[in-house]
Amino acid sequence: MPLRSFLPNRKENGILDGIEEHLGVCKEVVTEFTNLVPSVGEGDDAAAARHYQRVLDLEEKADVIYRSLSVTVAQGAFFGGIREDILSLMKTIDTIADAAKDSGRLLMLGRVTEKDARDLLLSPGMARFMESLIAAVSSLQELIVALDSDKKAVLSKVKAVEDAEETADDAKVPILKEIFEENRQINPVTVIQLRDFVFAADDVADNSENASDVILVLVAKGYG
Amino acid sequence: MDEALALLLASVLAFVFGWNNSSFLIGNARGSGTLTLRQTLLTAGVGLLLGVLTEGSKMTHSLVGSIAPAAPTHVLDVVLVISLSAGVLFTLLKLPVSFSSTMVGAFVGALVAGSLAIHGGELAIVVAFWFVAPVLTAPLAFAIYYVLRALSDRMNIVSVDTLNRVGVVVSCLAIAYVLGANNVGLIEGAAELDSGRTFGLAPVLVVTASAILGMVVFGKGSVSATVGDRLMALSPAGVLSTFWGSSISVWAGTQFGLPISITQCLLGGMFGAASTKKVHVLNDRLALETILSWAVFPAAAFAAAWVLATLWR
Repeated sequence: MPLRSFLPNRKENGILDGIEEHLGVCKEVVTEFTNLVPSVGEGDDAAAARHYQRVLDLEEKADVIYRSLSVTVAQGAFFGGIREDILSLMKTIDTIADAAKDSGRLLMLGRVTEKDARDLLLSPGMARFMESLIAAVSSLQELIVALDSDKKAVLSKVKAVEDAEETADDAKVPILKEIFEENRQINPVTVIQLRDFVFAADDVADNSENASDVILVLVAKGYG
Repeated sequence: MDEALALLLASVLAFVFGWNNSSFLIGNARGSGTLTLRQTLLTAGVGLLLGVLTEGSKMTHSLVGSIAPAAPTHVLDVVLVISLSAGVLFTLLKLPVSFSSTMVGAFVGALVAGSLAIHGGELAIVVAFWFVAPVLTAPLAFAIYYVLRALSDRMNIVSVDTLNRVGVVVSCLAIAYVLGANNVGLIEGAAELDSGRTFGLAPVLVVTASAILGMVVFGKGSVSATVGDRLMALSPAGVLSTFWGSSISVWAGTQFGLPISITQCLLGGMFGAASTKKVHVLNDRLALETILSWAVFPAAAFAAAWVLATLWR
């Protein structure tokens, strides 16, 4: 039996490890989602379906981890004053996977057939946007790891997540402009579909920042 | 008074004391979810018992032998009856009672009614300590807070969490210990002198067990939460420093045989911990009521004891 299991904080250490694992799975969901986008752009329905199914499976796996961790926290891990914040952190992390799944579903609901729409999905701007989403989640991962160090390190990583979210925001704007570009031959239904897909995808970065905000609350309460 | 009757009166008073102070004794450990109710009650019970057995005897002569050179037994009867009545009344009204100031007020009232000798200097020291203790607790809590924050800043989240949880258990034990030594010790000492006999271990255990019983039976009533929960919003480190600082002040009073209420020290501690923040939330009305109660309780006890002692004679 490891020495750590005898320490009074082994349950809390286990939850932190669990949060890291949960976020790792959420990042896999986001990564798989970013693979789905070019598949749809290329019109490769089989690959798109495969990636989407993988998104669904991974999101379900993230849900299972989240539920298990929530029960452990509710059963009495962590000081009462921060228990709700820890639950809120886990819930917000879970919404990262939810956002990726929802955005993927929007792409899969109706086939994207117009060339201009497909080109948009394969554009360098879209690739940059997708990379920025993964970068936001990666920053959050580093922040979660920093919870194992002191307050100064945590605060610097909180700033990094905020910066990553802003980068994602900056990458989103040119894509929206292209979607609404008058010269493009995209029917209005597809325009709505693409717009909603971009907004839902952007929630990946937004929710990463929301999770870092919860950690900021923990720091304000003297944790971190 | 007959030993059995004095013991009965002291036990009932200790029971009401445990009831009224249950929130201070178990509130933090329960509220923070650090311990189960059973674990909290056990910790507080052990603290009370240790306090009474280890240092409770230091309060035996806090009334007779300090404030007055001597007192007939009816004076101590009046003290116990008035304190018990006030305790029951205010506990039913869900208001925290300062048992120490009530007992001192009642004691002086009964002495005055009988034109008995009072050591003015000793009385002045006791009363002065009621005002000095909160003032001393404030910088103490302030210093403890800074130490805790300095430690927390260098720790990871799990270590800070462990520090807070261990700190809550220590504060539960410390508060119970000092309340056992000072307040239950005062009750037990008054009953002992009232009976005219030195209590052995068994009567002391009966009085302490009554206080524990009051805490156990009415532990969920949270009478004292009036002060702790509604007065000021504090962080975990703020709450710990307030309770640790207050425990030190009450313990210091016990070393000199000075009866003191934990409520008074907590108020000072809360201000000390809160002064570390630029912004803090204070319930002004409740703070004023609490400070006023420090004067009202002993004054009312004085008047009631004066009347009762006059009739008793």
